[in-house]
Amino acid sequence: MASVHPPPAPGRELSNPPTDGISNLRFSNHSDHLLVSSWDKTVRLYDASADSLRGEFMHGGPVLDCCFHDDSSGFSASADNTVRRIVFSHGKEDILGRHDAPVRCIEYSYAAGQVITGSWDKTLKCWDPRGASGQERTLVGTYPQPERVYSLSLVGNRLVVATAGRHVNVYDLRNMSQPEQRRESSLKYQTRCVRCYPNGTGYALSSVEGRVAMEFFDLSEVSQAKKYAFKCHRKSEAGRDIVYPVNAIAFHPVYGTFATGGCDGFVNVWDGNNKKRLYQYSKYPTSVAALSFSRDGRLLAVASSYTFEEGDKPHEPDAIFVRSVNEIEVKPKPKVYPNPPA
Amino acid sequence: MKKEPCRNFQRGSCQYGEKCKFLHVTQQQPKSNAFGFGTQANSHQQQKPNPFGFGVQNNAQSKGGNDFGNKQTQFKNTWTRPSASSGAPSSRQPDNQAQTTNHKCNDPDSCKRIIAEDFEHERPLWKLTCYSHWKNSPCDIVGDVSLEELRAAAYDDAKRGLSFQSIIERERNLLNSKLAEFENLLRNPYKGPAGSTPAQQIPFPGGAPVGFSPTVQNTVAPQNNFPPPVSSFNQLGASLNTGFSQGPSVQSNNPFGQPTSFSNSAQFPNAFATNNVPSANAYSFGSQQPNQSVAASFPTNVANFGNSSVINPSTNQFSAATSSTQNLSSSSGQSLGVFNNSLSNSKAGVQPATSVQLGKNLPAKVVSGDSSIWLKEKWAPGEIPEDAPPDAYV
Repeated sequence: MASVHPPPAPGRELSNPPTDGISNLRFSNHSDHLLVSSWDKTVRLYDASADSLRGEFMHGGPVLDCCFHDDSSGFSASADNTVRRIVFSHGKEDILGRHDAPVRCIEYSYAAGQVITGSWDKTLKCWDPRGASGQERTLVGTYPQPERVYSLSLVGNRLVVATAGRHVNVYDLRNMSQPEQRRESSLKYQTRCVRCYPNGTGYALSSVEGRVAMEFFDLSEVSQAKKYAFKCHRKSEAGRDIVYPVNAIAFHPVYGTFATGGCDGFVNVWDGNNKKRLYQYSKYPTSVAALSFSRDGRLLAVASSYTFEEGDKPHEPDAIFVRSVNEIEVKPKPKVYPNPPA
Repeated sequence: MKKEPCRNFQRGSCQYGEKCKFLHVTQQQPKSNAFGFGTQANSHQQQKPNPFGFGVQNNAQSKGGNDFGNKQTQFKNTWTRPSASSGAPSSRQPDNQAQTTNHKCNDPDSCKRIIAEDFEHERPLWKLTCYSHWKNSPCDIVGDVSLEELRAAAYDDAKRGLSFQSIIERERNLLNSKLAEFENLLRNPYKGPAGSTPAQQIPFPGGAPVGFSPTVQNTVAPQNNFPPPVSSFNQLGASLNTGFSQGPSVQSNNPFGQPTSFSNSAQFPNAFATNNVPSANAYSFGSQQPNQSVAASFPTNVANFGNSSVINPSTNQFSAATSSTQNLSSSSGQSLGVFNNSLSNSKAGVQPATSVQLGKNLPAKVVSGDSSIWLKEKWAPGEIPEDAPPDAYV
């Protein structure tokens, strides 16, 4: 994989980035709008193609996650324990409800028409955003988790929740009374991020130990035989590996390949089926905190934002890079078997 | 040009021999694998051809029920799936367990070896993590703190007016106690995952030098001989850190558990540093019950940080402890100052709701900790309690 050409630019840097760390960023399903949540207590809406800031919404505390509802509204999860709905066009936001501790993750399920949040209060909550504000009207259900929720991901009717202590719960959104599956992570250390495959057959789970595990929902032997894990985001130095947390995973919506971003400042693109690395982008100024592909997979947004994995130290300013994605970087390359000898 | 290792060769089945387009090398060390694909247990198998090449975690799991010590066999047995060896049906199990029978730690020495290898080769950069020596198994070390949680706690502390220095100290203490936990796991005979039985705790390292990792002593000592009143108190301390503990037996979690209650540590950064007495920290939180204003000094999110559990209404039990703790704090002046700060802060912006929220769901957890000061063989200056020990220790 030695590169002959000089490394390409890291992408276009967005103007008016947040003034503090970036916790997550998401492309819209309808346009090239990018929603960014930050430790500076704001949620910002950008037009990534036009490089313009279209809205900024203040919260009571650092915002740990955000997601789109449709192109005109979105939701946010904040360390001030609130779950908010943001209407971009009106520049308004209101509180959908609260947890008892910082809300760490938020997703909107189109299948269920509900907002799903995970919090450090060890619960998952589902909200109906059509209800008027106020917890009584909007809260659909509260589902206790074994530990604080660290990450969650949706595909179709399935929800995967990863918590502290390496627990993983898989839910069917149509029946939230109990998890469909209760698992422990295949990895040995703290879970960092979990993302479902776009084809709905399983999920990828990353940890702080520079590894990603590829898992499958189907519990049959045949399916479970396919699961594996691989090492990534490590640096060899003086005979030892420096093992970085893998902060972010993002699946390409068209090809099903995925990118991972780690505290080593690199973004790698992987082909999960063929178990190969397809590409490595040139190093970003600091840790990669979040990744998102645009709805057509043409753009990749990278949050280069120090995540304090090494404590307080001088670091590069927080930035958002939006790069155009080339097919060669993300298209799977099936194994080519040599022709048998004549 | 040959670049990739030949997988067939590693399986022993390449028919091209020298004509092969791929490199014929035996299984490489994990570090040299450019793509990073490899087995987690690779370090055990560096000389052995790895039939899978990519993450054979499944394979390692396949013999979980069998003689674990015979690790080599596992990798030769290429196609046995976990369910086959454990007898579990291949269809979904009724109790929602996705994993079939797991590794059973039949051979503690082997487990110990795995731990040693992991720690030698693959210590992650981020230290405040849980750990299991075997994938899909419960954690051996509990007490996960994520990057965001640490950052949020620091922001909260700063908002409350804590000095940068004290925040840094708190975090450093947190780190040290966690490192001590890992050290413990490495040094002591392997006893099984933390989440299992209470009996499986790290034995008291009688030979451990006193000055060395006092948190170790704290962890170890109290569990077996804490009389109930103290346990309840510890339970409070534990409840503060419920978020960090995994199962009913949290004992091994203690040194991490208590010091890492961020709100507490924030109050007593030095107390913790000098005394290594989690009790000091536990107290600041504990005293919130009788003293709601103190509770209120914690911003909601910190108060609930990692801990939506109830503050055990065993308030009475710590009243005795409380006084001794405050004396402990006073023994290190700065911490007392901090404590006083919290009290004064509490008067402004009181949110009684906060302490109420704290009382939500207290799982019954027995955690050792604070009163372990009484079990220490030697006190460092600054941690000598000024009060008489509670009756339990007399």
